[in-house]
Amino acid sequence: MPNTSLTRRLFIGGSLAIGVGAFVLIRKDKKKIDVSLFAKDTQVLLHTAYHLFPHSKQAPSAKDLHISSYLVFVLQDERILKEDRDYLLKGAFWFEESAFEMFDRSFLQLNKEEKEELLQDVATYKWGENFIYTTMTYIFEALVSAPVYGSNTDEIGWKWLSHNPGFPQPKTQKEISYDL
Amino acid sequence: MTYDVCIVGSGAGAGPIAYELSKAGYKVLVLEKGPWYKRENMLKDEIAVGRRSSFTPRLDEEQHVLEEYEDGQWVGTPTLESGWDFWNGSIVGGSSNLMSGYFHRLKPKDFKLKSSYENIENSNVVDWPISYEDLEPYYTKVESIVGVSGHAKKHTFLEPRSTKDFPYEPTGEHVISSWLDKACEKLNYESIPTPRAILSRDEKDRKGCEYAGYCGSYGCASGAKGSAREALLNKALKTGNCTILPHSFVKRLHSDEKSVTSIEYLDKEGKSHQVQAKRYVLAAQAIESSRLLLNSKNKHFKKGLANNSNQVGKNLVFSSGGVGQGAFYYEDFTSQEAEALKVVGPFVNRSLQDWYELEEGKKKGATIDFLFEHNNAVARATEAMSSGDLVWGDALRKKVLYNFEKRRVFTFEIFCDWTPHDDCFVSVDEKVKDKWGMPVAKVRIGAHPYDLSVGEAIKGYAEKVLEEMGARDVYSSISESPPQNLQAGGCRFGDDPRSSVLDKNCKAHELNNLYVTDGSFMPTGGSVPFTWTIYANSFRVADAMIKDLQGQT
Repeated sequence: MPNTSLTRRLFIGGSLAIGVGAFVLIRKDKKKIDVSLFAKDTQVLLHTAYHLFPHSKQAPSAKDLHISSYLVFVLQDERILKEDRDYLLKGAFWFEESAFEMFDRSFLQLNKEEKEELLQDVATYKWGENFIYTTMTYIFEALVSAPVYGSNTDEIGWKWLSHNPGFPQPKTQKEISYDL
Repeated sequence: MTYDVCIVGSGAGAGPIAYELSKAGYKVLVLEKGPWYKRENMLKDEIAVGRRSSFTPRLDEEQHVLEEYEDGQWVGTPTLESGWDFWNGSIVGGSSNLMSGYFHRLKPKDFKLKSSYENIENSNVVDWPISYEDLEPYYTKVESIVGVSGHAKKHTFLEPRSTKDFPYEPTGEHVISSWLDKACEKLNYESIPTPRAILSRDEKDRKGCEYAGYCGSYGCASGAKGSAREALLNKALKTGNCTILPHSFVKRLHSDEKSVTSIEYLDKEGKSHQVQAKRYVLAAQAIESSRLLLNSKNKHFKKGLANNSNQVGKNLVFSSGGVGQGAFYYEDFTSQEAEALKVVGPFVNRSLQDWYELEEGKKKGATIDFLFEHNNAVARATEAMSSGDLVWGDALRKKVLYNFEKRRVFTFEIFCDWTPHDDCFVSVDEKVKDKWGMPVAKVRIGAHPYDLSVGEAIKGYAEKVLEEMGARDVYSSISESPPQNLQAGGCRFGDDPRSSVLDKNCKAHELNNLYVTDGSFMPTGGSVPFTWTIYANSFRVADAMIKDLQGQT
């Protein structure tokens, strides 16, 4: 079976590359960039998800899926290596830096067209492509995971895709855990 | 307390020993590194099973170093860095909990590859010290005790059987199986029912298959799948003679010059324990069994236990081959056919062995198994991002929906021999340690070019079947990457202690009370998945061990 987990080597490689760039950027203009708020990275991540999987009449959006609950679950899920969880937020941090670089404003203050322009731009970089890919992967998890994980409420993701999730389904989040 | 038998590991190589020895009245201790999931934990939870390491250790706590050939040299990369998780099924019952249960016997010639086929340059192929006839009664035993369902249809490469047919009728089949049969008839191929280690009807303590549509990679919630846990360990426990300790990591074996004297293991809290037994059995899967021996150096065995001939870890084999697929677009079929195609649950249960020998008496071939694409939805959705440019929003949504709504993907797997050679082996990496401070296994995973040529010669036949069935977008790829769930060798058995680690009863040549009963014993793997052979051999060794113990008492 193909390995569908995150390709760490790629993500780290991309992350390191932008990390050097980010450091230079911060040194050049510390005041413009708000890098201190952990919550802001989470907000940027969340709003990126909203933009990547927006509202539609035909299909559930990231908001409909309660992606905020799911991302909180992901960021606290110890079954994911801390390094991977941290990189998700670091990706958001670098994404925010790019927003300042391009528009001199936070991603959260951009309109729909500006957000799209920014995403198109960062997608041309390896780190940006990996950040978008990773965020989308977690949106897909939210789309089709068991509702017990806080998303896919009323099974809207399964219904949209006519997906048969098999049985029995979990009733709590920790029924399969390596430290059981 | 001194146990009669202490087993390290609890999968297919361990189960038959625990089952037979405890039934015979011997006190058995099973030490399993991972957790003890029960049937009620075996849920169809894609997040836990498909997206997180719930059945395997965390890579930041336990990993491997994989050596690949890059730019003219062998380069080792820790799997924490590469993300290539090389674990599978580190839980009570081992990876047999997670298998698909495609059960094929080896053929008689698989026991004498060296003398039956052409010489392969730069290979270490040898004949087995036992024959098919020696193992046949145990294949049969597995059919009834572990539970194998199927139908022994006559075909060119059907191996000799001591019983007419399987004790369990085939599991329910999908309509596509009949389409495949028709296509094969047209192509003059012999489609054969795939035997499965899945109960097709209820047994005493196990239910028949419930057709939940998630088999491979998932644990079984009905008990139908013939995992070592369901089929053997649960029964061993009922004898009152078997104890299973989960979360028990075996750090090393201690020995004098002739015998293992104790096993040292760490419990969940990291507390160290020593266990004594009359017989010690390693069944931690091929790579980990070799690693444990190499990590158990002492003054009598300076290069690792049972390794005075430098054979431990050598001649590791995997299953060679590749995968392919095609898509059935619902628009190409009648609405009735399309609805039938969408049904999830029943099995495909079809294989081809027409090319098990590519050239008679010269070149081995392969087994081809057919199956639907796994039902894992995150993986299927993610495919929308793997083809073409990275898109999002409505464009991505359309691609995702397309994958689910318009077609069903049908796949095949090709299983070829993995030729043993000098660039596929296990050693230990003294610089990379696990969370207990022990050197991790370093695995050189070189593939032999001969095996790739076999896969390439076979794949076209499978593609033709899919095309004849009406599939589109048919393609396949033969890979030199080893599948971590199909590993064997490393402590091969043989009559000559200079070129093997174990004798023909899988007892170490160099120690009089140490057995290895996982896939490590296999000098070659056959052109099939290994699990049935590992089970059968472990039952065979259990008989030998009982005689050994009786001789002692």
